Amino acid sequence: MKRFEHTSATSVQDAVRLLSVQNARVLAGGTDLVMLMKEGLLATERVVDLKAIPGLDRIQQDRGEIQVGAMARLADVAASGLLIEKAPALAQAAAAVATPQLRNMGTLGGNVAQKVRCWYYRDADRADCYKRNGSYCYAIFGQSDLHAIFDGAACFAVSPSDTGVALTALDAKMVIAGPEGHRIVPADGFFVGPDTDYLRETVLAQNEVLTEVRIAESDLATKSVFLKAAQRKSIDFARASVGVAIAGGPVVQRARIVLGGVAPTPHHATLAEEYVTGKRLDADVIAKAAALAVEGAKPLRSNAYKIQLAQGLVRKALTRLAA
Amino acid sequence: MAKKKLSEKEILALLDDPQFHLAVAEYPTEHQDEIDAIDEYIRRVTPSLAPWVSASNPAETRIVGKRVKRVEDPVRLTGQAMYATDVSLPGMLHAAILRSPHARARIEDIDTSAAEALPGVRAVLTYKNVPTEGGAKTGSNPDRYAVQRDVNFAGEEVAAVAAEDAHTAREALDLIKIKWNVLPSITDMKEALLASAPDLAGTRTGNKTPASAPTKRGDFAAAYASAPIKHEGTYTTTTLQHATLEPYATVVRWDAPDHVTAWASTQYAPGIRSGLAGYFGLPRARVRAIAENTGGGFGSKTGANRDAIIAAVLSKMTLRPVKVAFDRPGNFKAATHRFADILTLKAGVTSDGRLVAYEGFNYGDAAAYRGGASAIVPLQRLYRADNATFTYQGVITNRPPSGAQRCVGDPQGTWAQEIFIDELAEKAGMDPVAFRLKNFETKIDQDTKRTWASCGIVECVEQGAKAIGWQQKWHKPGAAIRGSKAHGIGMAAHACAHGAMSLPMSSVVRIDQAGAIDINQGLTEIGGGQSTTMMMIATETVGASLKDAYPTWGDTGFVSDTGGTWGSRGTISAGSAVRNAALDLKAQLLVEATKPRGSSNKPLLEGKPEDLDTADGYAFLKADPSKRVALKDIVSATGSPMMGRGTHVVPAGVAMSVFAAGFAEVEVDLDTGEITLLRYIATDDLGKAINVLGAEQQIEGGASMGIGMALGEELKFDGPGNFPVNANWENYAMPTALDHPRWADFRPILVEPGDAIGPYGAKGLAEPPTAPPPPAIANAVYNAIGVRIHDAPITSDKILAGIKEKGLRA
Repeated sequence: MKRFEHTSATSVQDAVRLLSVQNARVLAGGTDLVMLMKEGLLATERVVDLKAIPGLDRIQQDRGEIQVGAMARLADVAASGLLIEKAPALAQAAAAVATPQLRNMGTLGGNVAQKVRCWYYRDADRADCYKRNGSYCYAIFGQSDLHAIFDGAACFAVSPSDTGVALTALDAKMVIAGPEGHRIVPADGFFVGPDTDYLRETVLAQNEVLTEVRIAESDLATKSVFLKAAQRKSIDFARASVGVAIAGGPVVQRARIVLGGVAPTPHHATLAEEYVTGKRLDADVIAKAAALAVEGAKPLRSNAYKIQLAQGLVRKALTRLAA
Repeated sequence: MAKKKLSEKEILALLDDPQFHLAVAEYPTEHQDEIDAIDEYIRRVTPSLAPWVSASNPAETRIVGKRVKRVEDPVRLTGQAMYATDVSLPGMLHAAILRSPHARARIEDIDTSAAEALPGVRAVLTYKNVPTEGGAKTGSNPDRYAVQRDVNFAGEEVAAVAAEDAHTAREALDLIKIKWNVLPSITDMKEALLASAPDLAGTRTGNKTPASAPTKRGDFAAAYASAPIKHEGTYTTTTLQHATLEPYATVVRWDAPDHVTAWASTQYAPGIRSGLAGYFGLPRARVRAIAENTGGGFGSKTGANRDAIIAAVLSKMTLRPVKVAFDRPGNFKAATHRFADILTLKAGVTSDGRLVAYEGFNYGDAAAYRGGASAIVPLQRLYRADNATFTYQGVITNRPPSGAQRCVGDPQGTWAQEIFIDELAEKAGMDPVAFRLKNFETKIDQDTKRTWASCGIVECVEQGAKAIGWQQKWHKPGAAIRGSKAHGIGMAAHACAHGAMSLPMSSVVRIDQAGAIDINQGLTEIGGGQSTTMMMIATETVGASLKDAYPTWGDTGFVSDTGGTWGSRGTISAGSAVRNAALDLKAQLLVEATKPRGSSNKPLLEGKPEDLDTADGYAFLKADPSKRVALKDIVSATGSPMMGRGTHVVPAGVAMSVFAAGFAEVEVDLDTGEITLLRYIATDDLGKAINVLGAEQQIEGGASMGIGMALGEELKFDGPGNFPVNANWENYAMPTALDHPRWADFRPILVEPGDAIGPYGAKGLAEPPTAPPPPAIANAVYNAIGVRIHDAPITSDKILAGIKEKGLRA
């Protein structure tokens, strides 16, 4: 690892000020950033540690909203009674991340803002990959088991965040602090795909800090579920995941069906959402919705299995919510 | 075939040859003539014990056969144990290694000027300054230098930097500029065998290694033609990496002019010594190798690997101690690997379910440096087939060096055989357990006609079937589907030669005036519980207490070269030697106890030596145990420590074979293709457990490795680039603790028929438990969903494809 300066921010404003140096990076749990620095994938002269900022890890209810601080540890998000009751998909997604050790270190903000896990991007020898400002994607002709079946363009790395999928399904709002003050972005608009900019994963600018996520208390948030399929359930990133939230019942009034691990951002299965709206979730409707959820998928050489997998997860999730 | 005759000189040369020790461990059956000659020689030259010292296995034991917590564990569990990676010496330099990003290439030019100019850098090693004269090669095929100009696999070492600290060394690597000539490469065996394939190693053999003669008995073709039931199938396994917790690591201190000390992570400290001595053309006496602890080997640390060689070259260049520790990607890329294989099996069965014709053709990935890669041993010995032909052909590819991983090829052979046998049983209309029991060979090695000293395979299968509830749970394939979950059970059996090699192992057991027992033997302690096992054997045999013993190991300054800790040989070879040395010591103690001595000219105990026995630190009269004297008092009476000598002597006319079985119960999710391993029962014929707790731990560890091979481990290579894409613990899916069945459902069962060769009836144990889990799980998956997986590992994408094909889900 190259030399760098470690600074500790005392407030969000202080953090933004410390980030004004070129290449400064936000340090939350450090489970991703430190690896990127060690592997030489991310150059930085300064890290800005958020751990000392008071209150940034709060999980609370306020005026019809559930507010989760970006520094809330994944273990605490997973165990939050409030979230388990009011927004179960988020608690389930946090519980599905990696291992107990990593959930004790990693934070919600870090989980949604993490870099992609593409094995070509992470291989120090493959410096010509698009994501490293090169001009090649190895996954197209190489091993694409873990890559995108939707929305790939130049880069086919998938969004690795489990909580990002849940937050998108829950219509969460992301609160971002920057030099100009705060701005609020819907989860749906927080993640950035390669068609917009293949060097980044989120709208966060280098000198911005994600401080909080807000979820409106609603029938939709309460009736939500997150499911994940991975090679090893104990530790791995999702091969595919799904976050589903349903308002109404038995007739569906509104539905959010979001796929993870299959696209560069959490992927809205809009055809399936529209199809189930106004219908009762019986076995036939669920099967049709699951098939619609993967319509338009364009697999690479070795990831066609993800179509069947994502379909299976949607079927499972809808079946669970219908019960 | 005529038996090879060896002169005494040739025998002594083999006993002193570390390469032979390794070869014998990996392929005992291919070296049977040499082994026989050595065994015969050892039987001839070893002095026999006094006739009144019993070497037969006693009916009752005080220490052997009990559950003992391993004495070597607390120091590890508290983080105090010192590994090669922990060694830090005054003035020590840290090395970093530059690896080839290409699978096959030649370096046209290399510019190290900027790296050398970086402050803190003390040496840069490339093909331009690497020693190439004399013995300066690493003993592979083809030989390689400490760093290469011609690269044969992605990740191969091409340069090394020694610097004042590890960060500087790492930074210097980025400053090295290389002009590459990238050459066509292949990592797929089938592609390498195509007529159009480039000649990867300049052998002009179609990328094949020299052929060995097939193993033949009877007339396969005729028997197959007339068999009423026929079956054929092809089964493959892939490249695996041991992923030892401690990667390759060595610290070398080169003292002027030529005294070398190496602290190594190895299974074979004497092999580091002979390897470095050979490389630099030094007498072995000038090299000392120390391996106090080794963080896992599993067959990947059998001699002086690149870490040791590079550390030694850099230390010689700088005259400073140098540490080389592979990083995790480096270890995944460049340590030795378990080889991939393709095995096609063909068999004919009688209408009443008897195997009469059996054929196997095996391609093994000999990879970039042409390791042996045969998987046919389990085919030869587990099932009786009077007409059989087994053929092995190695293939040269640009995969990283192949070698042993908890057996050389047996897990690969058993993967194929046990799925095949399951399919055969179905064709014959028989229950898979009954079909196996009907066809096991339980008496002899069918090719050498040697009698096995013991065989517990029937008991392994019967006990395992009972434990898992085979009678109640086994059903027709796909007959237990509820909702999205399918339930299934499956089994596999296994036989191998491991633990059977008889390379002599010698030991010295000492006792001093305080009664302290010191066990000196040449095994290197690698975490298999070897130290505790040796202490139990020594103290049981001498008649002392476990607390009186202390083992020494892993330092060539103190122990002789008696082969490495591999091939499941430790308990057999070292254990026998320790037992014989302890018997020799016991005999001396009893003689001394009955000698008249002192001014009164009276013995410590009245009687003849044969009237005495020992236990719990005392010698006593068998007729009246109250008449006793402490062993330490006997030693004190003689005035100086006493020493017993012993070697492993193999009885004539018998052979050792080791057996195991595995029973798996799974649940398959039809929506996601995920497999949950609900239960796994491992039954192992280990002859006799010396330490019951240690044996159970070995079996659990071995089964765990097998579960990894079954459910996810696979080093994957980029299509066009032929470099590994998952050279890390994130994407190389070793099972974590949570991926195993819960504690109570992950059970080892010990089968103990006793054996005439090993100490107290013990047989080899380390490797056999690894082989059954993959085919047992594959067979359980078939039982659950009716889908056969022939290509390991069994991953959800393959399961999903099968589910789709069967129409189990839309």
